Amino acid sequence: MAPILQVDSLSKSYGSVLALNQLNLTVSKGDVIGILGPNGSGKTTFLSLILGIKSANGGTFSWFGSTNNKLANNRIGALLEIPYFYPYLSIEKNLRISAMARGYGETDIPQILQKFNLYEKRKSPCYTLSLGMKQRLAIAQTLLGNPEVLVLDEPTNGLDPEGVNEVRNLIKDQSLLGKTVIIASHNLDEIQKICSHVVILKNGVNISHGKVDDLLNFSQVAIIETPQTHELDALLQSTPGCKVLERNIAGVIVSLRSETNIAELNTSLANNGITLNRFEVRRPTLEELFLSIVKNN
Amino acid sequence: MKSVLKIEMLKTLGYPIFWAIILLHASFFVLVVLMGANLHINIQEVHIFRLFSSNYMWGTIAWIASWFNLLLAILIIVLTSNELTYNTFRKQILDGLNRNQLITGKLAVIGSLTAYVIIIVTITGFTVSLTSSEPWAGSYLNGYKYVMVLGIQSIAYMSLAFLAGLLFRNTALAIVAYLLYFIIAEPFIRLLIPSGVDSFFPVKIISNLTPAPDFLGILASDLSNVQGIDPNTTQQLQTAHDGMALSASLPVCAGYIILFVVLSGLLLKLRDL
Repeated sequence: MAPILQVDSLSKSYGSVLALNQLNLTVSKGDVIGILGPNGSGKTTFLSLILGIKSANGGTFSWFGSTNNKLANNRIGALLEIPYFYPYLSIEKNLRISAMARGYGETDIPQILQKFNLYEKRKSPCYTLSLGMKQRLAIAQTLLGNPEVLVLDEPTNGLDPEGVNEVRNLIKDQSLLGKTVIIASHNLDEIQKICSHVVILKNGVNISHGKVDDLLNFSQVAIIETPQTHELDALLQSTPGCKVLERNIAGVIVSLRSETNIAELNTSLANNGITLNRFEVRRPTLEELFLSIVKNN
Repeated sequence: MKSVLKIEMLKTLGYPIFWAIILLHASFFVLVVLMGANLHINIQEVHIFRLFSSNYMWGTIAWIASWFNLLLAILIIVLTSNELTYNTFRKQILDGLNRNQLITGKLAVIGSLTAYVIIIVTITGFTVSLTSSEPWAGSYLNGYKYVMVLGIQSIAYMSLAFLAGLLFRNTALAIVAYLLYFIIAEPFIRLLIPSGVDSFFPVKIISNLTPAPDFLGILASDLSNVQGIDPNTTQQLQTAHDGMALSASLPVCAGYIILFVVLSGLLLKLRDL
């Protein structure tokens, strides 16, 4: 079966700044892909390119196995960066415009307004809405016409914890329905909870990608607490595959390669006279994995 | 196509500034015409109300309406640059429209505003002619061609405004740039250009589609009825016209409209949204 999205060597530069460098990616039906990266890593540029908002300087992409990408957008629900509305028009009219642009009927608008608790406010002009409500409306818009793919850039921006949870559940529900979701976010906890795959970008380059579980299983972190921080630092610097992710008063959190021998590290700490208050090795969180990969590149 | 027009209608008719400008345009235009038609001022031996009498009325009203076209051009700039400021062009691409449909939508607005101009000028013209205290010689439609030409002029002004809105993106900047080009830049450039070539500049040629009321022509016409006036004098007065003939101006103006639309299309297609 043809992939939902096939990206080959996609590149984009702004003047002399290379925002995206030869990116390759294949997205299959039902995948929930998280696009991660520090600020300026090319996440939004990548999404803008595949949605036809910006034009690439090189490379190609195809949606649904067809190179005619102009026909793809009404099969995709997309939210890019911030919500876009006619501020002087009501919530309902903004949704009607979206529905007409997609070539779908307006019949599911009341249902979507109710789902997102916006029905009571449907006649209010958009400029009167709070940031959180605008964000909810933007997500509501993406679901008009029941699209096959959702592309969401920072979908929980401006939402309160309850709103974040609602969006997370919504994305989970959509993925359970077999929809494909591409989501860019800084909220790594959120990505870990909902994504099946991640792509990590840095300076426009794909520095790591794969299934979330595979990536997390391939790595480990150690929490080492000791009063002898200088000695610990010196030892860790000379230990291959060790990268300090975080320091605090009690000690450090380090990332370790999966092949690192924990027993040897423990022995080495003891041989160097380092008294340990805590030594714990566990599977990393996505945030720790992300920091480790970004720091290593 | 139908959905593009419906979308454009929904967002334009729901915009309070649109109604404010239309109201301003209609009320000021009608007010100026009605005041002019009822004023009895004598300029160069021609009474102002003569400009609103048979044969001259449609030309005069079209000329007055041409000044108010600037308001509609500003409206187009506001509508266009708003789409870029609010990122709603971007949103509509995300929703599945293509760039050609975005252009079609705005051209439909330009077309609708042109129809509005023709309708309001026609209604005002008939009101003036039917309520005129002077006897009406000939058909009420004598000179009505100027209203049609005014329509083409409106399209030209508004398509240039569409281009300015897309080019500058910022509403205030685009309006200032448009007016500066219109009032200062092009007239100044024309001063530096050899006579003859200057007639082909866009603002000049578009403006000349609806020439100012021909005081000299009316004076010559009136004088020709007076005995003892040298026929050469009236002939000279009648031929003292400025600018290119309408038959030559119209194709050039149409060319400019096409150029503005093509450039707008290219801007929208080649630029990132």
